Amino acid sequence: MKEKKFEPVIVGFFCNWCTSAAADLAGTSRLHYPPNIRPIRVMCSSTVDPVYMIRALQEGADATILGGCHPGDCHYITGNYKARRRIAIVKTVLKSLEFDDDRVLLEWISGSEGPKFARVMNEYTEYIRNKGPSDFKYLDSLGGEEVE
Amino acid sequence: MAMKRIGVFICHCGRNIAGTVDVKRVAEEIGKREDVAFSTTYVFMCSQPGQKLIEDSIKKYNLDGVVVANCSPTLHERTMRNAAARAGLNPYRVEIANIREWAAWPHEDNPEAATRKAIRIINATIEKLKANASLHPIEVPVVKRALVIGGGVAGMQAALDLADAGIETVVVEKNPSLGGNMIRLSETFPTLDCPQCILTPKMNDVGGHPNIKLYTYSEVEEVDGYLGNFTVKIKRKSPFIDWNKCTGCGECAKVCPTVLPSDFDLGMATRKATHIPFEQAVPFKYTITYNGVPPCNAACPLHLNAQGYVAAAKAGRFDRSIDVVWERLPFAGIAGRICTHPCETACSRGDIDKPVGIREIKRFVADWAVKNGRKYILRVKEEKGKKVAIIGAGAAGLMAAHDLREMGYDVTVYDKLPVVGGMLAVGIPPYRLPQEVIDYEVQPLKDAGVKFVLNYEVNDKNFGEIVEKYDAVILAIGTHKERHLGIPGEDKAMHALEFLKKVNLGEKVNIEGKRVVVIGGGNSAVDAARTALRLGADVTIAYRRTRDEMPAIPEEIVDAEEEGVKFEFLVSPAEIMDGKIKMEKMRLGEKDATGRRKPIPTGEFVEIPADIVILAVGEVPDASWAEKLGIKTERNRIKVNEYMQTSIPKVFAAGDAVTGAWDWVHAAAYGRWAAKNVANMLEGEPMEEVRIEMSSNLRGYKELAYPAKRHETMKLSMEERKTTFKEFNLGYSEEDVVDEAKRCLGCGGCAKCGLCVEVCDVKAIDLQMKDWYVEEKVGSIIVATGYEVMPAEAFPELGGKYPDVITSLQFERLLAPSGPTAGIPRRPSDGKIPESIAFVHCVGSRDPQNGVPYCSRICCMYTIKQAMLVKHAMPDIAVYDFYIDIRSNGKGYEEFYHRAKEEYGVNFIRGKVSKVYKVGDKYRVQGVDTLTGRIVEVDVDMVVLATAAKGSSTVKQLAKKLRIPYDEWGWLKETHLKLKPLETPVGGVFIAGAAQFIKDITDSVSQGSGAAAKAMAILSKPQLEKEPLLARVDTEICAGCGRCKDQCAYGAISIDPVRHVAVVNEALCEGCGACSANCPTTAIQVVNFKKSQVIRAVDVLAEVF
Repeated sequence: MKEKKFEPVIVGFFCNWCTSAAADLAGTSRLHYPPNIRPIRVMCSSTVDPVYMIRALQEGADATILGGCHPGDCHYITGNYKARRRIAIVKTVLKSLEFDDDRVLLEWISGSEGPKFARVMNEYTEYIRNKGPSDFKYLDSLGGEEVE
Repeated sequence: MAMKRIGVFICHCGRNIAGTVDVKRVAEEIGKREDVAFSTTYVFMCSQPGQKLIEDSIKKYNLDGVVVANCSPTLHERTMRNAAARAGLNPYRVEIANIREWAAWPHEDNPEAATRKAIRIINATIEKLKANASLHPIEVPVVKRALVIGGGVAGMQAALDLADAGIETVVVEKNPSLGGNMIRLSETFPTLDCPQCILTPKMNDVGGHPNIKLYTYSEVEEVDGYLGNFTVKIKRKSPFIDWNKCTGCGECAKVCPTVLPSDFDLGMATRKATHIPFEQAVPFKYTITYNGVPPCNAACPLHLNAQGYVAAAKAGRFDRSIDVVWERLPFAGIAGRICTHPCETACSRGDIDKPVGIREIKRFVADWAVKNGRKYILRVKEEKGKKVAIIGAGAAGLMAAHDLREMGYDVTVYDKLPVVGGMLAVGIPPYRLPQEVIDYEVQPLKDAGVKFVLNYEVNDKNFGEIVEKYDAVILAIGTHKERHLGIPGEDKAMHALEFLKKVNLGEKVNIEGKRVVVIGGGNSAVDAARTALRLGADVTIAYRRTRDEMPAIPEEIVDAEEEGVKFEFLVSPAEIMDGKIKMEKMRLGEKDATGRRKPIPTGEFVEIPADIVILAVGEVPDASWAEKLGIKTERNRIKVNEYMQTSIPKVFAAGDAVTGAWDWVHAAAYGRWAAKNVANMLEGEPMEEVRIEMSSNLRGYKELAYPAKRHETMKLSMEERKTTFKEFNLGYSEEDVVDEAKRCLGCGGCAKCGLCVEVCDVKAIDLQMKDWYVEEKVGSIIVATGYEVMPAEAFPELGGKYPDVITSLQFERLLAPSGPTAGIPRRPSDGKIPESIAFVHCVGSRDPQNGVPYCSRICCMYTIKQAMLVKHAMPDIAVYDFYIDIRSNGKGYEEFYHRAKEEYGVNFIRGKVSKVYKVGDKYRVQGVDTLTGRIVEVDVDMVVLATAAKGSSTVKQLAKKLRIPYDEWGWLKETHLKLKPLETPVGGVFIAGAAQFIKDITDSVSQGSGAAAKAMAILSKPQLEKEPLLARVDTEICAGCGRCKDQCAYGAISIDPVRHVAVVNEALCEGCGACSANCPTTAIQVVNFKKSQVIRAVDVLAEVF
């Protein structure tokens, strides 16, 4: 009996100055990580509205990652601290809806940390793969709203 | 208006993308979209034909948007946007889909997945692009000035190029002089130029250039603003010398008694606290190194400048030394005799052997002043016309009286005793503190007009009158109540304080020939015992713990023992009987709260013969007296607030009456605080919270430790000690006090002894000078902060712990003709010229376990150079050079290596050194010769380690201020290693020289010039363009709640008070989008990063298939 292994969908929001640069460096260095990571570049981790992450989970993602600059190193001075607070809120919301809050990950990856980028992507994909699919996307009552 | 005619251009990037991603299939898939009018692939989109393809297609298909799927937008976003603009399409209608770094390369092992991911990234990018608006860059003015951080060779080159091009340039260097690491070097490879010859012209040019503003001994504190418009706050560290006045004459350094390791010589030599780092320094101005408050000064409750008077004593300048004491304390003789010296407890010389005899040095200079007729005179300020009464002429009262008198108050001190001094007079026996010393030091107070009313007891009857008569009152009544044991027969015993008081006041106490047992282990017990001994008694101290736990000052226990006092330990009194005392035997148990082991009764008893028993078991606080006056008390102490004020506002209190029985120095310190706050109250100033505690983490320079044991003071002959009350401790001799002062390790750097101030003709020295700040506006910033090398101590297995095993940079100083050994290498341990030297390459470099993974690039060449220079100066020295590979990849480098081998006979051994250890006077270097496979062992006199280079240790803080990235070794990260090695992600900020990565002088200079050219390109423009990707407010839906304003780190958002909506200042906005994430109504959004755009893209990314 052969069962197809579950392959998670993970949406990654990467800040322009640190984690996007780290993703570039990981690519340039030919470091491999799973294609399950689906990236989008944002200017700063602080620009990521909690709605974005919830939306990703609703629309089919099994997990989301937010990558920002290390504390104290934010290109926009304090954006990563704001992101940290927002992630705490997303996690609280998920918990209150009885969903796993570990499907939302916040990581500080600087522009010179290509290897760390690849490692985090590998480890988190493996973690979510073992965890199995998210229930959140099957929740019809929460169905995504139309965007104009 | 969503775009409907989008063109998608997929780049092969040769085989970089097309080798993994099926670009044809991608183009076909994307081409199926309704909103895509045209999709195609091309081998190199960034090539001219590629760009032409985009331009032509825009025109041909009338495209309203373009997605180019290629490499990272950091590389070709601008190229593609420019191409679109040439074809008449607004450049902000072009987006890059990064399918090379984000799809092709990381998934080159899975072409199918890479292809699908590429399609998904392009689809998401199209969704985002569709709602992009046409935008135009915002024009901002540019400040035509530049800042260069770092005054090494790279920074100086950049500054000179900028200044020569007519741009006003600010140079900030953290050290007192320009020159960086290069000026430390002996000669430079491969030409053997001497840096003193080739660098000093540049230093002088920078120092004198009309377009350069030089700030040395300064650091960048804050950076604000953006490309073209930076505001930089620069901290100017205090050199304690006004450089506008300093002539560089050096008289200050001649008299400075404080010797520190020379930081310029990397510890290979010493220098004075006031110094010029080297002869050719620019600017040629003296700088005083002050590290901060040393531990001794911090520990002193009165914060006397202990290091200062010790330093002056070291110079033999006892007159200056006593002046330093007198700056904060008139009672030098009292303190020098009986202070419990917290300074010595904190002294970092104690980490090596024993603390410096600070108290005895103070005592010496106090006595010196008496002998030499130097009198303390109060510096009384103008009369305030207000009166203060002080009750109690003890430690706290005298200190308060002194301070208040100096501040100009009319002070009267009341005491019930017939003598001045309180417990100092009646509690401390005269052989330790003669009454004459107290009287001598109180005389200046009397001379300055302080009135003393003795034999006058203040009580509930006359207190009201005093409070009425005076503007303020300080209670400093001490505590004189003895603890009681509650054992049978206690009434037969005498209490120590009572005994001492009687003797001190000259009452007759006849105990000659009697057997006296003193119960207790504190200072009073020892004082009572030694007093009884002097009265001819046979004295035994009985203490319930052991000698180690005795709270008395250890030196005094020794003194007592020398004089013949006997000790009984581990006994506790049970009953006092006629002619004997019954004691219970004790044993030691666990440690108690004071950290001393607790005595535990054993139930066994002994009887000790005793004619007289003196109890010295401690004093208890007693505030009954104050209670009677209607002052609130707490735990038998006078209750005061944080300002030393009692429940009666004009009455303050200090000393033992407040703290319980303590020591002289604490009582005096509290007295001083009470005086300060009395003055504050009387002048209507806010009172200051009492702060006695202060800490200092500074430690001394162990490597400079003067090799001497703590000196003992001279003592009275034993016969006189035993039989008279003459002062038994005679203090230091004049030679000893200087030697003792030399033991100080100089923790604080400059001791502020003031000797330099005396000799400075131009009055340039100001020891109170503070750091100050300047602000500079610049348009561009160049960071050239250089490198450091790992210390030898980081490699103990290679002998880094030995003094003769040093780093190459340290060895440069020993080879430098202008260095401490005038270019002849000498061993740091003994100054001997070595007969043999081993050089070790790759120490920490190429060694991720013990150092860094990378090659430090310059070590091979400078090690070869050093080996050659040694051979050149002293051909007889045997030189062994242990290398792994010789990396000589530069112009003339390989030839240089061959010269060293062939002309100079340097012995090159290919192999890694595993161990260096001491064998007799030599160091054994153990390694493997990998060419012969044999183990090599050589015994040498010196070892030079070519340790790994790292970024400057302070660069990380600087990088954070500039918001530029760096790596874990402290190297600043360039935008692109190959093509943008001088750029950083922050527009207008460039990097140059070894700050980016370790490099040689040639490359550093090239980068300095390169960075200057980059900065000029910005500064030569009339105006700069700013990305228009900024926050915008939809005033139709903005509710003016202000949540966006709270998020903005730049203060770019304000709330219009009339329309009650958010307003964005475009000059300040950076476009991060933090505001939009916090907006409850989507009213504020970043243009072309709107929420709807991101959500559409997210929908594509999150799709399951």
